[in-house]
Amino acid sequence: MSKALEDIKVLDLTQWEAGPTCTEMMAFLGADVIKVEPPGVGDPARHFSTVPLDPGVDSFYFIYFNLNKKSITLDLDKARGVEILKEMAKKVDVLVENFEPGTMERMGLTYDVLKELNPGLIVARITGYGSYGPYANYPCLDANAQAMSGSFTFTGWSDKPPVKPAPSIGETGAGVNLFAGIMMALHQKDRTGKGQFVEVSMVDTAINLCRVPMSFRQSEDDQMFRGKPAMRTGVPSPGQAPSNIYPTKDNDAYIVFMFGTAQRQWEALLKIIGHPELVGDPRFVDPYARGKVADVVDKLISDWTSTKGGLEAFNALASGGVSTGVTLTSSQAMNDPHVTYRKKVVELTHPVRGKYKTLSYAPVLEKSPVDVENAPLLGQDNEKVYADIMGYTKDYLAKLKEIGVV
Amino acid sequence: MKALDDITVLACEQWEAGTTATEPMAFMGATVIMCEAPGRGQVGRTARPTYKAGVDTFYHIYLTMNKKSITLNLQNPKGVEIFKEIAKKADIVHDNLGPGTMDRLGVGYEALKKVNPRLIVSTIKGFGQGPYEKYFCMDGVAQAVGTSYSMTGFPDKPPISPGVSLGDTGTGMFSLGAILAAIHQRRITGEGQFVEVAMAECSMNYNRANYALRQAEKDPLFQGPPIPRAGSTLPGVAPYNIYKTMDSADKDNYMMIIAREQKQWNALLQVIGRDDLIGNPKYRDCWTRWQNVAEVDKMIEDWTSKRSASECFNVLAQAGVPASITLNSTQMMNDPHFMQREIVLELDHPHRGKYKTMGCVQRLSDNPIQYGTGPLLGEHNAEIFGRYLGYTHLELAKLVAEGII
Repeated sequence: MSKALEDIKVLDLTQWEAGPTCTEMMAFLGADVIKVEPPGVGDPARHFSTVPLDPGVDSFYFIYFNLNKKSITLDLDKARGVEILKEMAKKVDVLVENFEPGTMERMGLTYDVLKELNPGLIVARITGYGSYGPYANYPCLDANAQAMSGSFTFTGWSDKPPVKPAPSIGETGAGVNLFAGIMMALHQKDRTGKGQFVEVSMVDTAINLCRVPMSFRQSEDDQMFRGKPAMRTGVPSPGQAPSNIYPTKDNDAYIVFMFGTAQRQWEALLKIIGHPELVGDPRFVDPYARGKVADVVDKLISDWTSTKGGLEAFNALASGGVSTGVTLTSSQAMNDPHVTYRKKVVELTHPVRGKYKTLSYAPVLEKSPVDVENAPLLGQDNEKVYADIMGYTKDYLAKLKEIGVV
Repeated sequence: MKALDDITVLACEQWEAGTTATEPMAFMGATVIMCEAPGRGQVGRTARPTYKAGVDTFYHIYLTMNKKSITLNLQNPKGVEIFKEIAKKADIVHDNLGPGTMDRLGVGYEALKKVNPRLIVSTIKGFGQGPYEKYFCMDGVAQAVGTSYSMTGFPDKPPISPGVSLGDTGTGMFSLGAILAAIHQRRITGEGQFVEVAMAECSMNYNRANYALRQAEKDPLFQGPPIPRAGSTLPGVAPYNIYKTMDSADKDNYMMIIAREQKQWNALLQVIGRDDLIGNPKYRDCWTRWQNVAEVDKMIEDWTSKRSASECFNVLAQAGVPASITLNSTQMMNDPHFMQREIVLELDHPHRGKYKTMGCVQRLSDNPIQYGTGPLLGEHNAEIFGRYLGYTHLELAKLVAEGII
């Protein structure tokens, strides 16, 4: 067995980003992921971008999140389509969806129905707010989930409105969490033979990613959260130093430090920036003491960083044992030698869009190497998948196509 | 029965990336044994300015729920020997110590594989094997290198840290799934393996939507100008922004409103009383609306700014518009929806009393979760050393006296 999930078949009804993130991870690890899409249009993400796309040309938004999958078409608004889906559900291990609330129920595909058809089936769902609770039926996209989690209000500057964290933690985050949830259920199934229902919500995911600001910025003084909320301060660790960003010679490249309580890192920093005489100085004994003289600390550091290039400063500090980052841009990161060496950024050629760069699965499993493959064109695997799973002949498939079912 | 109740995890964790990977396993019934230095324990226990001896930080309590704590001195050869004895009976050894530390202690993958070939050895590193391998990393470092800083904030201001701890917790989330996939593979092969996750790469992964939507369409090989900061907007798509409400000044509550699909836009126009604009070609899709973004934003804010945030939220969301409130932390932690879902919950800690924290994200129908508070340092020494190694109280007392546990 050369891939961790190569014995797993997935019926992938997901769309947009949160669901596809999850099933893509399964595909990277060798699962047979069959993406089921509406005939003619496909996953709406195929057509979504910040610039208009020519008809029939898939967006990179779609391509990035659907690597290594197969695509078949099936119209779930038609009774025959739902019937076929139910037949397929009998032959797979996992079914994943992130439709708008109530969609699966409307199609008659509730968990109870699916369980009856296949007691071993793991049915997994991503919702915005979860399937119960006052907001259960409200629509929710990444930025909505992030707003509700509080994340906006502690991102940004105290004299400016709250601002959205750029990463799509609500959607991609929910996909990452659902993948783990499915793996939990799979382990139980490996022991009992039984499937179960797995759910992850985008808002819950975003909230989970706020546990640290909650604990550091509020709960030490207000553990029941009754008082003043955690506020944005522009720096990641208020009250500590160095906790700022430090300019370099390069436009928009700043140096970031974060080394918690490790005094040896502070001392290594002093030596690198040419101030070994300050090692042992009582003003700088720990991050909180330094926080009281943050201006002094910040000036010492930026006097040095501003004479260096971004990557130059990063390499000098990090190789000297200081926990340091540089604010890489998207163009830098996607071409970074370390990430490229690790094959985490890969170059592929898409039949329509040509050469492009994208990201592979982040974890490295020693015994489950990842071979990144293109995202499928709409319905490209109809013949093979319907023949393999359902035994449909070409003629029969042509008939289904004629009546608009596939 | 619980999903993972046959799984034992031996964890050399510190701070957050390591602890967040194993906490959901503990929620699902795994025995997660945190192996901590005698006397002081994990560094996260004490990481706050007002630290009082023996009183754990909430940071630590939040991230170690449902786990067991043992003390074990891995600087001592006898401690290493005991560690290996437990590892023989464990399924997973997990660490996020500094680069090379596990090897230096004599409990790296090569050493552990020899004592237990079925073991999944999982490690979280800042950068992983490669040119930056030896570089230290913490949340902010991973977020900077992972491009989150450079894209968060305003175009006329320097880059800024996203308020969420994506570099750490975000990496723990990746690690968790990968470890469990390796457990599944082991069931068939009978063999363990090495699983490595790098924080910088996980951070980049959360930005794929930005890379795809905001750069790849025009620059698929990323050779040109990078993605700029854009506040709370998604340039090219409108409406997609935050809008003032009557609660903005005192509660920090703005509305985050998006209408990328036409049905959402039409519903939004109805709600704000501008149904006269339905079908108007100036607003026929999200790109056209972006060409007229100032007008679009103004007509929305004219409506939201005269209303409370909760009114805006309920009216818009019930009409099918993806709209939500920038809740502040106090509101979020007391919101009835989140309390009903037990994503916000109340627990009791022996030293710190009643507190609120946040629950497990994964909901499995056959696995209701009983939440326990984070363990005190060494709280489970007798239980774990007894259960896994058969040590008696007398033997434990001797190990304490020798400074090994």
